[in-house]
Amino acid sequence: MQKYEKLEKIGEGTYGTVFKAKNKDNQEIVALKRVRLDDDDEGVPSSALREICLLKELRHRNIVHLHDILHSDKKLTLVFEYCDQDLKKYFDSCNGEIDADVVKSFMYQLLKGLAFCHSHHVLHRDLKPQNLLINKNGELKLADFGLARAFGIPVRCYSAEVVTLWYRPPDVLFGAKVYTTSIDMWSAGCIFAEMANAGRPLFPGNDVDDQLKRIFKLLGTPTEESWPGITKLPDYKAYPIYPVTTPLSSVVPTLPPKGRDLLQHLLVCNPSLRMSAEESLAQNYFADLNATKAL
Amino acid sequence: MLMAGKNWCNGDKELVKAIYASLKEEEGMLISYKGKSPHLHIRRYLVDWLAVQAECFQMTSHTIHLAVFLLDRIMDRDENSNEAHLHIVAMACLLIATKFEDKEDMVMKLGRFVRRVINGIISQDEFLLLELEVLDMFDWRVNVPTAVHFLDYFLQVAVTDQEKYKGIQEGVKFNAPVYIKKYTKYFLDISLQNHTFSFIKPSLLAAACIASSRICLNLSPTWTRALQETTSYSWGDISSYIGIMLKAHEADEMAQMKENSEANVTDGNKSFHDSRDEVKPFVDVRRS
Repeated sequence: MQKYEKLEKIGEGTYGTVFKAKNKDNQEIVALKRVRLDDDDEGVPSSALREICLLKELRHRNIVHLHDILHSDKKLTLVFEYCDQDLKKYFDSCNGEIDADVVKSFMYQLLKGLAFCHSHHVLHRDLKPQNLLINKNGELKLADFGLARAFGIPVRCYSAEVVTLWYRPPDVLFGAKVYTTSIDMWSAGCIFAEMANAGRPLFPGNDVDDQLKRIFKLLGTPTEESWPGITKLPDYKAYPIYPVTTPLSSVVPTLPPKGRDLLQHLLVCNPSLRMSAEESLAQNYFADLNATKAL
Repeated sequence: MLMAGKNWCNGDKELVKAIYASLKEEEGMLISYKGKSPHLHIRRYLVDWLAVQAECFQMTSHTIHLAVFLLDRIMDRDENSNEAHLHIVAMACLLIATKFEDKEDMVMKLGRFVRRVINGIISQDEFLLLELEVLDMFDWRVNVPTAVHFLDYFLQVAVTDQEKYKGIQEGVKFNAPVYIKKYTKYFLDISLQNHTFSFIKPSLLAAACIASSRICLNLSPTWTRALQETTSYSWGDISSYIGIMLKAHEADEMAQMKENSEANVTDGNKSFHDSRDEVKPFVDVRRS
C-alpha cells in the first residue's frame, strides 16, 4: 500500500514534479518530489543525488526538511515538509504592499539559513524567490538544493552556469569559475531589495549584457582599482563608466537607513568585499527584530 | 580569479575556522574501516582500475578518493560478493563519486563508458538498482571529507615563507610551493593503493603526505610549528605512516627503474604485467 496519498500538483522543480500529499499513517501533509529514473539512462540524476546528500546534513529551521527518500518502480521520491507557498507567490498575494517587519523577519531567516549552509561548507547557488518557501507560521525556508555544492578550503573551480540570471553576481556573469559563499550573498541582496519593493525585481535583465548594464548603472562600473583582477576574468569585457546617480534610498524607498546600509554591503561587485551571512546577521538593522510581530 | 579565493581565505578567518571545525566533526563520524573483506587481495587491482579511469577522464582527486572510500566500506560489509561483481560495484562507486564531485559533462561521459563496460554482464536496470543499493547503504550521505579536503587546507602552510623565496633568491629553479603540491598529490595517490591508510583519519593521512613530501624535498625541519598548529598533529602522530609512505615511494622508484631498463633491453617488446603485482605511480612527479 502506498504510504502517501497524492492531493495535487504544486509545481516543477529543477528536476522532477512536486505534489502535495498526505501521509496516510499520521495525516501529516507533505510535499513529494518525484524523479523519474529512466529518462536519460543517467541513473540517479546528480542534482537529485546532491540535493538529498546535502539536505541530509543541513538540519535547520530555515532549511526545508527532507523527511524521507523512497524508490520503487524506476521512480525516486523525496518527501519534504510542506510549506504553503514560495516567496514569489507570497509577493503575488500582497498586492504591492509588504509590512516592513515582515521584510526584516524574512531577510533575517534567509540569512540564518544561509549562514548555516555556509558554515557547513555548502553553497546554494540558486537563490531566488521561487526557491524560498514560506509556511503558514511565517517561517522562511531555503529549498531546491539541486544546484547546491559542497566546497572546501580553499575553494575549487566550479561551473559558471549557475544562478538564475537576475540573481547572478557580476563576477559569475563575467565567467568566474572560482567563487565562494559570496555568490549566495549577492543573490540574498537582490532578494532583499525585491522584498522591500514587495516583489519588484531589482535587476530584471534580459541577457548577460543587459544584466551587467543594469547592475553597473545602479552601483557604478567597477574598475581594476575597486576590484583587482576584474579584467582577468574569463568573459570580461569593458563597460562604459556609469556615474552613480540613483541613491539607494530611491531604489528601495520603504527600507529604513539601517536596512539600506546592509543592502549596500551585499550589493558589492567585488566578491571579496561582499558581506558574509554571519556578519550580516550582526548588523544594526536586525537589532530590534520582533519575530512575533512579523508573523 | 585566484585572488578572490585567496582574499576570502585571509579575510574571512571566522568562516574558514567554522568550515574546518565542521570537516573535523564530519571526519569523527565517518563509518570506520575494518579491512576484513575476504576479497582484500583484489582491492589493489580495483583501486588501480579506478585510478586509471579517473586519470583517463581527468577527474579530480576528490572523486577518486570518495570512490575508494565507498568501495572500502562496501567490501567490509559485503562478504558474499564475487570478484566480478565487485568490479561492477567499483564502477557504481566511481559513478556516484563523479555525480557528487564533478561537473555534469563528466557524469555523462562516465555514464556512457559504464554502460558500455557493463553491457552483457548486467542490465541497465540491475545497475540502477545497484546504484540505489549503494546509496541506501550510506544513507545517501556521500558528502564525506577525504584526505583531499584536508590536504588543500594544510597546503597553505606546507612551506614556510622563507622556503618560498629561497629558490627565487638563489636564482635556481626550485619553486617549493609547486613541488610540494606535486609531491603531496603523488603521496595521496599511492596512499590509495595500500589499505593500511584506510584505517586512519583523512586529516592524519593528509598530514603524513605533507611530511613525506617535505622529507623528499629536503625541507627541514620536516614538521614545522605552523604545520603542527594547523593540523593539530604532532610528529609522533604521523611518523609511523611516513615510514610506510617512503617505503612505497622507494618501491615505486625501483619499479620505475626496472621498467626503464627492461624497456631498453626488450626494445618495445615488453610483456604486460599483472597490475596486482606491479607498483605503478599514477603520475611520475619527478618527470612532470
